Amino acid sequence: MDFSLSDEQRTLRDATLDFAKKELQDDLIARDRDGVFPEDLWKKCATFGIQGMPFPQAYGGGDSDILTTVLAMEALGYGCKDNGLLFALNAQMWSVQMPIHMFGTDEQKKKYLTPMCKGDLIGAHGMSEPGSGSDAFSLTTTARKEGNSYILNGAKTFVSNAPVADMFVVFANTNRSKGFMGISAFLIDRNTEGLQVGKNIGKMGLRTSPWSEVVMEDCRIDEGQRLGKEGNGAGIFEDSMAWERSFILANYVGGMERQIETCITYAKTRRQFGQPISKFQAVANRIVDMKVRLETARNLLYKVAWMMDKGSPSVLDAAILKLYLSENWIKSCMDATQIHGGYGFTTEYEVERDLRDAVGSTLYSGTSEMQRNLIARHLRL
Amino acid sequence: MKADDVETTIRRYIVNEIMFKKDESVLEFDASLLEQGVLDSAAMVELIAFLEGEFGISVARTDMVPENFETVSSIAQYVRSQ
Ligand SMILES: Cc1cc2nc3c(=O)[nH]c(=O)nc-3n(C[C@H](O)[C@H](O)[C@H](O)COP(=O)(O)OP(=O)(O)OC[C@H]3O[C@@H](n4cnc5c(N)ncnc54)[C@H](O)[C@@H]3O)c2cc1C
Repeated sequence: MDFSLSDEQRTLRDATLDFAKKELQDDLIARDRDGVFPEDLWKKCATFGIQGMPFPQAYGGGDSDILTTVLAMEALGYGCKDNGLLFALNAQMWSVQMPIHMFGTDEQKKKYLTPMCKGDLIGAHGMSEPGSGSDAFSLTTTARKEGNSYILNGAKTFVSNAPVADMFVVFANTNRSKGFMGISAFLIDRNTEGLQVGKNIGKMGLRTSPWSEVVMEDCRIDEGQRLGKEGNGAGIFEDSMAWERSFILANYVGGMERQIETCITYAKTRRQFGQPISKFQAVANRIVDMKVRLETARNLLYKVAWMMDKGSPSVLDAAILKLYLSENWIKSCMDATQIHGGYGFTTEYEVERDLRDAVGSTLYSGTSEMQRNLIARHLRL
Repeated sequence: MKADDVETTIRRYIVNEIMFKKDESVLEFDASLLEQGVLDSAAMVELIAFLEGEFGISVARTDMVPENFETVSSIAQYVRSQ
């Protein structure tokens, strides 16, 4: 077992950190308050190579292995406080670019993957519907075959990036009688007749990452816009969930590290009862717990990335990682707020924003309950 | 393993572990697992893990289509083709 990083990995991680600290800083408090998506920062990330990092050079990517990509995402999370931007990037990379990379034709990759790697196109993933969330495959959107076209009808909700997206990966029933194997995936351009994108829906956190409903009414698309084989939608969704579950939270490992440093600085500076609050064991122990969570989460993350690189992905390990990282990120955000006292509750200190941003992490990419169900199944419970 | 044994092994697993029944004859080799709702997405995850362990194959997600998983016979045929 070798825990060391290669020179190349260290160099890319350090360069990403440097990039994030220099280029991804703006008036985040105002943007978070107003719910503004940072198009300019998105472009900068693409120019640096974030969106393309794990994808083939032939499609504008960086050909990096997964562990290297994850190290860069961790560094982004340390250097960039805009969790919404980082969430939006991850949502596109793992649940839009990855399925196109894994299941798309060469033509589809050239049309969508290449411009997404370059930051010229934004993609969104539409699975959830008003009536189907955790039970994703009970979706009711239909795609009826008519000649060389499909006609889609239905509504998707909670579609991250939708208000700013140029295209959508959408899942629909092509043959209800086949149950979850009657689902197929489609690539739909925003300007397609019959497709309507709703307004940004207000939310607790991740406010700089817009989301909305996407409604399809007799939305006709060419057969060539189907992703993968007919009936392969569940397989495609499971595959993109495996990527998302594994890596959508990688930034938060970097976020946890930044947060610990902020808390240490604060606890050593803030004095009460004639001494720094870090001298109170109750305060120090919170920071100790944050550190233990960080190191445990980091090990889980690297292990899952390493397994992916070895070509032996593990559903069990990915579920454990998603569950652990999301729930412990929330706990650490609570601790950071508590350590900062009343100041932690103010917008100005930028501690409460992490907490608001963190809450969604136990919901998207499979709720904590669904991760526990997965783990229980693996334990044959 | 003889050709017929593949069918029998798969059927035994589905009947015992997914349908929670003992009598294997309740499931015809050519009965639709999808249309009868025997195989849902959760059961599929377990079935794939079983097939991979039992037959030493790797089920690609591109292969998760009705042609390969409609019936016990089609699953067996898929296993043999790997
Ligand atoms: C920030 C954010 C971004 C998102 N982005 C996208 C996106 O881009 N595209 C997309 O398609 N979707 C997206 N989603 C939707 C997300 O996938 C769903 O919210 C999630 O799958 C849960 O579905 P639901 O909200 O309908 O809750 P429900 O499924 O109705 O669940 C409600 C509660 O019941 C619990 N529950 C449900 N079933 C079980 C069970 N079997 N066992 C135990 N407990 C259970 C849940 O864990 C939860 O606590 C996003 C969600 C969030 C919060």
